[in-house]
Amino acid sequence: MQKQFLLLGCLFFLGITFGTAQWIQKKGTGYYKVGTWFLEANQHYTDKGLLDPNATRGIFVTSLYGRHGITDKITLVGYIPFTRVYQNEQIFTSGNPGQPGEAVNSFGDIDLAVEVQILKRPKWVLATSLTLGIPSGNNSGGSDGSYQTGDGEFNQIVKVLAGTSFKIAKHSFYAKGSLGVNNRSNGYSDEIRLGFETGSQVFKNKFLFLVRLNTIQSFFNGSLSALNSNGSIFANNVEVTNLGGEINYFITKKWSASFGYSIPLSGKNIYKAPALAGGIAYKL
Amino acid sequence: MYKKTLLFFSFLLYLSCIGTDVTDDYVDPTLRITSPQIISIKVGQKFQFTAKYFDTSGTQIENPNLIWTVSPPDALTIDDSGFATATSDGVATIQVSVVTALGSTISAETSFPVREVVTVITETATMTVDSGTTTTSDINTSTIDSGTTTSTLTDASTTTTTVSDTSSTTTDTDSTPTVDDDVVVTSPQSYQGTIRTTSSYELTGSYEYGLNDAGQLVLDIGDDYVASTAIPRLFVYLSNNPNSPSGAYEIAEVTVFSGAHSYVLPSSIDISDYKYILYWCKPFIVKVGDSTIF
Repeated sequence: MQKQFLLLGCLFFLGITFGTAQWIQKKGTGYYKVGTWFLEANQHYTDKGLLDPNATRGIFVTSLYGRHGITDKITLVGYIPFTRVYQNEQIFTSGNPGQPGEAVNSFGDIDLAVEVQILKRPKWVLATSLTLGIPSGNNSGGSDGSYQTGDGEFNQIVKVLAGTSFKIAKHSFYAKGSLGVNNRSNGYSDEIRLGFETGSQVFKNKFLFLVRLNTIQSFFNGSLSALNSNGSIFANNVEVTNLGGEINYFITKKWSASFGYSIPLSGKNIYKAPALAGGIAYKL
Repeated sequence: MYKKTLLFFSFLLYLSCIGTDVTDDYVDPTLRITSPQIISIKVGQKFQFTAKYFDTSGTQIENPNLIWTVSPPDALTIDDSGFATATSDGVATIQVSVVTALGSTISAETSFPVREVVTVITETATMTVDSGTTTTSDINTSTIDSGTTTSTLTDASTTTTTVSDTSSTTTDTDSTPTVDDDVVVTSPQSYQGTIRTTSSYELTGSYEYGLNDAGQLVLDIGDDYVASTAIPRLFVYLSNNPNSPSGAYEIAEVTVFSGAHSYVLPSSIDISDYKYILYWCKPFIVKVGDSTIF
């Protein structure tokens, strides 16, 4: 019997936390990034949204992210994660035999997406996207099957994205918003995903500072639970509202480095821990 | 810049190293007299006392070096194995002690009357413990002549302990006094109590723990039982450590999340072997709920 837990929810929310939201690429241009993010949690949000402790588990993801414009209006996007999931060694003060630490390393679930520009005006742009979540990860890793790097289900996310630029006191800013629906299979509940991001380039455009607010809300229409958990119960009915920030440093016009930090503000069935991220990006 | 970036990535890699969690599940070592509680013993009769020793993890230690003593010394004689012979009229106190691994000595004791005639106590006691600590009890005692048959000694005694503190449970105990060769003893037949959550997950319900008509030890969970279906891999244990399942008997993984159900326990388990019912989430390695049986 396979059991999948909080990890997968983290993979989802971190995906939206640090997922780079770019404008639609021009034909022949692209954005490619080698990134990492890390989370270690010893508590989680329960199904009631309250906090409970858990054995410390960590997730470390190294990923390749790329987006390439095949026309001026169509951009292909790919995300390939390599995931390490681990649990700390457990020691008991009573002298009971402990439990050794454990780790699983494997590919995670790959995302493939296509973004299509619907409208473009001088100050704003409207686009839509379809993301396919490929179940390429390990959904039964580790000694007890709970060290998953994927959820084992094929999901599809349809999003509408809008972006605009504006000025405050002669300083340029941008803002983006997205609304999506994640159609999940294998008994998982479907989800609504909302995101907002704003940022600005400063110091002679050498730095980009941005903040993100993302949320996942579940429809709670899945059938998975502890009653029939051939699959996940904690990757199911996940909810989280996450606030994060990122600093990008433009080393050259083509190369940049980034550092991100995010914290969950609330959630259900998901770890509560801050996440760190870093990456090196190349703009074609 | 490249060196700083490399350092940053190295730092993130370092963070993903496996660390250590320390769970505080220490319990004080305990010594428990497990032989039936003597209500009365007749002069000249013999009785085998037994006791079990549990270490700081709640694990039973096999063949501990138990030391049996009696007070006053002329009331009973007792040997190193706990085998006692009543010798004179009075109130006797049996004490058993053991030296723990830490060098300290712990003990347990039981007191009872030694009589020239057999005394039968039909007891109904109710003790309520709350912030005001109120205790009431009614005890009826009758005395019968030595040699009276045991057929009339079938009254049941009931002890009810109710603790209104949120960290405690309600436990009802049913026991039946019996007479064997002029030794009146009482052995618990069953315990009733309430499972409580110790987490943010819903887990509650009444239970009865005892022997069924077939003589099997059974944990019967009541109709009012409810457990959250969001708890991953929830297991139920019998334990002598309320903080961890180490040294405990794993009954089963929980597959029923509402309503009445039963767990039939193996014959190797005695009703007095375990003090706690423990609900434990294996992947989180945390307690979800518990109940104190006695």
